[in-house]
Amino acid sequence: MAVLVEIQNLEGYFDTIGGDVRAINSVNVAIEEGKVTGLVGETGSGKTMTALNIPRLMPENFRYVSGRVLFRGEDVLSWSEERMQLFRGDGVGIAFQDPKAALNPVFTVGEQLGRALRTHTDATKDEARQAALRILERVQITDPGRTIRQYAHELSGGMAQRVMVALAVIHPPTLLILDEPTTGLDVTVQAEIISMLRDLVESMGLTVLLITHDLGVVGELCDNVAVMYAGRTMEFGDISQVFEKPANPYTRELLRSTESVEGGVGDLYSIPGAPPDLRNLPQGCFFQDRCPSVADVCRTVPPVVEVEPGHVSMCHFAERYHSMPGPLHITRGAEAEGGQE
Amino acid sequence: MDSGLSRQLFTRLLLVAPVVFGVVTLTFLVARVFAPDPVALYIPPQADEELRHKIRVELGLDKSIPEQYGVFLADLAQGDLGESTITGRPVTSDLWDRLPATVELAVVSLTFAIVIGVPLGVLAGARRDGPLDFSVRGITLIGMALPSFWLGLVLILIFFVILGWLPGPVGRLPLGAVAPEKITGLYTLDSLIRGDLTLWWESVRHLILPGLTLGVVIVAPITRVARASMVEVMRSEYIRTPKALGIRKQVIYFRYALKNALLPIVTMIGTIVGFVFTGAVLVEAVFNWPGMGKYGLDAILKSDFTALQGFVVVASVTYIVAFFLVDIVYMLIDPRTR
Amino acid sequence: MIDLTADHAPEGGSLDVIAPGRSRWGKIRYVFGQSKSLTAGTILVGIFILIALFARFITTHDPSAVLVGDPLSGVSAEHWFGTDKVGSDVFSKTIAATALDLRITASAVVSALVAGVALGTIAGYYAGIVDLILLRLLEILQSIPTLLLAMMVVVAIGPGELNVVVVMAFIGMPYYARLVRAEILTKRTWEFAEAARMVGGSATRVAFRHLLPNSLSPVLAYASVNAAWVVLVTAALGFLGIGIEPGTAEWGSMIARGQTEIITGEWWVSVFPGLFVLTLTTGFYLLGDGVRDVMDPRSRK
Repeated sequence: MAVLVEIQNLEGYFDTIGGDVRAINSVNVAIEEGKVTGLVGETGSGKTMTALNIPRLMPENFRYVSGRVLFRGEDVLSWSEERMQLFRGDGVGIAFQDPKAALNPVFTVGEQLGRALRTHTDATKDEARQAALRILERVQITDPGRTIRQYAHELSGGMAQRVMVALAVIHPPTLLILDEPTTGLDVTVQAEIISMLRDLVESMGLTVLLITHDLGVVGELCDNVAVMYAGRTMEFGDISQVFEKPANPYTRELLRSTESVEGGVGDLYSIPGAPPDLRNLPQGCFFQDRCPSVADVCRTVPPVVEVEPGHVSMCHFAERYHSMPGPLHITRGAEAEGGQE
Repeated sequence: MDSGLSRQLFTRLLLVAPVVFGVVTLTFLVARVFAPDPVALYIPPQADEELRHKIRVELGLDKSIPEQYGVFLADLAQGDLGESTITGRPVTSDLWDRLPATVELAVVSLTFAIVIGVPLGVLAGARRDGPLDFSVRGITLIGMALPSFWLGLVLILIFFVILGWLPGPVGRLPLGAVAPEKITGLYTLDSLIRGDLTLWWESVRHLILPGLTLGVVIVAPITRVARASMVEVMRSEYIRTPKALGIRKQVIYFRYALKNALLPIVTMIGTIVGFVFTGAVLVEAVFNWPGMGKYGLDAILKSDFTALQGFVVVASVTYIVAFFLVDIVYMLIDPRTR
Repeated sequence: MIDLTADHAPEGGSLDVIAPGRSRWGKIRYVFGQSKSLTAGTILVGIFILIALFARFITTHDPSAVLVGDPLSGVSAEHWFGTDKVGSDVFSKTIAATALDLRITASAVVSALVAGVALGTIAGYYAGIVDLILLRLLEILQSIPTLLLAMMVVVAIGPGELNVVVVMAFIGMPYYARLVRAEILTKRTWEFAEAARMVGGSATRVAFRHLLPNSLSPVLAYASVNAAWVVLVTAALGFLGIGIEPGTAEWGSMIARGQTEIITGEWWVSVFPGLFVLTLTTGFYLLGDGVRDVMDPRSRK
């Protein structure tokens, strides 16, 4: 399959009063056309900031150090603001996390959907209304005629999430970014949203970048996955490659902590220690302080190792980890009945 | 929705009632307890005690303060603000006569301030720290700092004394000119209705400087609030959403963000409406403009406490009504307050 | 997810939070570097304070003397701001008035601040009935147009510097109280206040030692705006002839005295004192903007 978006060696920081916050440090992700790519990591690992580079919606105080964001081979970072504006909503769309805050409080759902469509097409107001009703149906809202007249504060969390997705796809973008689509929802609603998203992606043939801190969601929806830690992509590959034969200690620990939650037996395992301070990152590997197999060599920046075709890991011991027996078998649908965190 | 709206408004009215009552009481106390003996205004100081007493009885000043308060409230309930000591006419008719002058001034200055202030503030706030924002911040800061009465004098100096383009501070018409026969009391309108274009032109010319002075005074706070509110809104996540959808900047500023930013702007305009109707004392004084503010000022300067009391009651009620209207506009703009 | 940007924005407050790890002088330089408004405002207000302090040495003539020059003579080397119709030197009077206006402003702002903050702290800490009554009272006071209220009370209690100060403080106070009250209400649930209460701090102690200091930054920003207001209203009262005793050199009354001269072309009598009012007020507003720039982390770049 063709690569739609490729983020190469991206590095940048936030210029703040308290010093530079190095939010993105060497990010490498390839998003294949027609596939769902997951971006997974703990809160603060730079997932959203990485994704926001594609539509170039970074906060004003973000400064680039290096890297390229290629969309069909062209670097979007070099595009003019006029070209970006045409690109946004058409080349790339986002369903932001926390949809209640992302929806405008003083316009109805219908008004916002209509404006989104009419920005990229010549649809009349009436056509836009019809399209809005249809798209609300596709995100499985039971009474679109009613929802279209509602305001954000009148929607439940699940409804707001569906509307947010509808807003991003009423004019289908080439790449859809879904930012934490299940966060803050209760378990049953999460399951509904996941199933809705799966249907939507399949029926519309969307290319998706899915951001989540929930490995279960990755397992449910993704084809490929990038694991992020302190602004670095630690591991990237096909979901079965990464989940079954992880080549990075951080991925391994992450899967282990998820397993203990999923399994529901024994001690709840969480990775000891805390992520490093982005203002004061250590030399070399950022995971060194929490890594079970840290060595002197970890004080130097680890290489990006391709352990098998399409499966890369940023670790001095990538090969060794890759050859260890797999910890888990979270694959598509394997734990659909299991609860999420 | 409509029944909910009227119920909400009713609740608000109930909340407002004690405030009105408090204002009325405070005014009464300040006027009665602190004001110098009003009897002295009627008679020479050497008048005998008997005459003094007679006038006291006539004014109801022989009664105790609580009794006077009761009478005051009872009159007020019937819309009676008492009689002015100076003019000898009911305060309500005095104020009613002065309303048109104030309305003319208010309309001109408010239009000026809103038409200029809101778009300027919105653009400055949308492009925060840009060149426009920098100039707007600077100019409005000076606008806030301008003493209105001094600004009025400087404008008179420039446009009347030096350039001779506009009339001096003689009120609504040239000295000696006869006002148009009263229909609305607004000279600019009545002269037109009567077909007297010369008089119309004069009334317009006389309105420009006071209108501009008051307009400059109130444009600064409106612009600043519009800017600050816009800055706040532009930071919010729901403004990033239309940006991510590729919607044009101008549409985001004026279709989306302006509506979100409108609440504080409306509040400020409400405050200012209250201000121009009764607080424009200084501008009216400088231009000898026979409006309500000037009436209040004269009442204070001449210790006409009945007139003053009536004026303050009307002023406060104007404020409260303005805020009540603001509440209604709120509910129309923001679905969350319904 | 703006999780990365959220955590590096420190809460406003002491200099330590704003500029950690710098020397005292470094901190001050850093804070001023943050805001041009703060620098400009400090300089302007500073100049006025110097003028007020050294008024005696700056004046070229006795400010209260008449006929120190020909009446209504224009701007000259002898009379920098010209003379008024009784032949007093406008420059010397304007300088002398600076001391008076600044004295009134400082006393009124400090009194309003102290009284308002105390009231607001009480209202914010003891929520419920005390709060409710206080809030209604403040609301009533605020429903009367401020200039009108000031005029009314000054006329009632008579002119004079002290009376003007009292009235200004009285009218300014409710705003401080409201600000502090609102700040305290949002910070009441702060863990450290809870903690202080837990280890047995008395109610008053908790309110004044723990809640109050954390609510002061908006109060400081407001104090500058309040100062600007006091300058303007003092001048307005002087202009209407009901503030300071007649005959005292005060900017507002000086502007009023030159009112007729404006029409006859002797502009300097009114224009110069007005420029002083404008400049000082601008200085206070700049200061207020600057304090807010520095205190509110979100308004910084």
